[in-house]
Amino acid sequence: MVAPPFPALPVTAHCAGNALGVTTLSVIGALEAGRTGLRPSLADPAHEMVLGEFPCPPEPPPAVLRTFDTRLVRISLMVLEEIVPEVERAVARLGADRVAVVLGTSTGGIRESEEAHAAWSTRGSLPEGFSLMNRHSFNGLLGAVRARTGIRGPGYVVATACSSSAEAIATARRMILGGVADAVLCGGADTLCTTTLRGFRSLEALSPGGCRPFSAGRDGLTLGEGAAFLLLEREGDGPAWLLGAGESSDAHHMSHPHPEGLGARLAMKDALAQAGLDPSAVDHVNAHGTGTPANDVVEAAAIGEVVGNRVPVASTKGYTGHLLGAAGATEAVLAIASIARGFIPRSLGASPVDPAIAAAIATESLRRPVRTVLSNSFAFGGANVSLLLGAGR
Amino acid sequence: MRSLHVAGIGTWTRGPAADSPPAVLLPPAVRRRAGLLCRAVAEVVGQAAAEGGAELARTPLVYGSVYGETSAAVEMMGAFARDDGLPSPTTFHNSVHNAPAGYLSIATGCRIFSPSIAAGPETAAMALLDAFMLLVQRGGDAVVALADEPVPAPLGLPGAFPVAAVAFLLRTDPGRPSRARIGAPRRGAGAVPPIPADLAPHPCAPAFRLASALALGQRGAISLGGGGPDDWMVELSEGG
Repeated sequence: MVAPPFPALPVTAHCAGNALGVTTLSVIGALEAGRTGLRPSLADPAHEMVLGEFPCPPEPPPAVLRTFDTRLVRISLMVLEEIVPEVERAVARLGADRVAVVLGTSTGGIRESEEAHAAWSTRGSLPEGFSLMNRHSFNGLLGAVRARTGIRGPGYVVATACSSSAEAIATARRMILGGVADAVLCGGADTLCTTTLRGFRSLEALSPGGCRPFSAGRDGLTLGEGAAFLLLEREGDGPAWLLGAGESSDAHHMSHPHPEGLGARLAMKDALAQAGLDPSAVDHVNAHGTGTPANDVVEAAAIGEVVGNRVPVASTKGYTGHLLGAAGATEAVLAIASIARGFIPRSLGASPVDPAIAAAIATESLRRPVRTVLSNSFAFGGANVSLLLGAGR
Repeated sequence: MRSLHVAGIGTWTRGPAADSPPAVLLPPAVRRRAGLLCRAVAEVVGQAAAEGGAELARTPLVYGSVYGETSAAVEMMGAFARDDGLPSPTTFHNSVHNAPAGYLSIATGCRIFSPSIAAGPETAAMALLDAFMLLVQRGGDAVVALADEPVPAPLGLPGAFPVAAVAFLLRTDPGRPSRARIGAPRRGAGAVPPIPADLAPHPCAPAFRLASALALGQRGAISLGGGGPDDWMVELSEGG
């Protein structure tokens, strides 16, 4: 091991909520029990399909935040509530201007914009309260989280499709290392909406019966919704540390991965280089693993080339569905759980594994010490991020 | 890193004739598939890179837009109103916020990650800040591009502002004469340079005001908001 060129940063608080549960504990509990959150749904009345819907109707925000009221904001605030005390303590300790917020989403408030468009089509007018800036645009999520936490430092939304919240975490790391902030609330959220349900169907990328990443029988992805947040700090302690955040562009195609996984390899190698770690230090890979025939085989080959074919690899999308802009942060939280609890989830639905995939897909859950996890997120536009999380600096 | 060099700028505004930007950076096959906002971004990035002599295969793009690809998004919503309507795959992947960054990386072969961001009225300031952080980490060049298109009816007002884009080539080490040095965005009061009236309501107006200040050779604090002390601003000083 060589000295890391960049310091590791502690994740001092984290939370996630999605189809597996509203609280982090319920999400991790379901993961450890091997229970999926995917269910048949009529979210798009034109087509029943399996989805990872949020498990309860999300509560409306307090009246003072009603201008931002969307399903995205409701889910985000409900999930975030779990770590609001830690965020408020950071704001009080460091000063509101030294705490930043970087969030990832791919759809923002488009679900409400779809409803507004449909209302206009039938009634000839937009619904009362519809706001382009506070509901449709990504600024709604940002404004609601700022207002709830009192954060006054730099704040923005990163929107690089399915790697959005992983990139938000990479950006948070850059903010702290660059001296812009001492703590950053980062993460992301996305909700199910007609745009993604129909859009992925037009790409013929949706699985009819639920995604089975890395399986010989995989036939597409399953969409889900949820939110996850991490508090990254310059100093402190926590169950896990962000050791590196590798980023790359495929520069190949808008919606297909590079056939040799070039961008994926660059991102994983970049994360390891930032930490000064040898690939042999990686104990587990939480793969992007969407369940589409092309993506999984390319990612598995890239993982094999970077860390070898003996490291247990799992995709957690068989539990949660593909959370799009929230996937990276959600899977970072699941990686933290692997480190904290010495647990590698089984890659749900992977058995029998596609013979074309040489990576060591975890078809059974494993109990063992886990010190270092790579968590991959890849996206439309070839935007790749690989986060490296570890038990210590 | 307290300041960077502005080595080039690019601007494009759609005129009354509803023209399309040349966007020669994009190969014809890519240009045909890309939306108007993508082509506008390609145009201004090409202008800024040409002025500063940037090698785009090694230059990340920081792209900021308040509303993003609203033409594609609203077009899809129209299709959804027709029962089982499906968007075309191209319209769907063109609707993502990072479509311009994706298309440009394909055109230039740049494998350095290019972030795409939004921050409401603070989008220009945050895009510049993101570029500062990228260059602190890796040095070299970065292009910051800001662009928006009018949000189509019924969600927006089609004529509220023109499709327009602006780009700044930022450089760690000038190597050649630069337009100005620019400090990292911070909160504080600053001047509000003039811009054409049709750009005043544009969501990226602060970025056009910064381009105006650079074109006029203004120095000192330039506001990236309305000029007040709680807004974001940058300091411009003599270039290298």
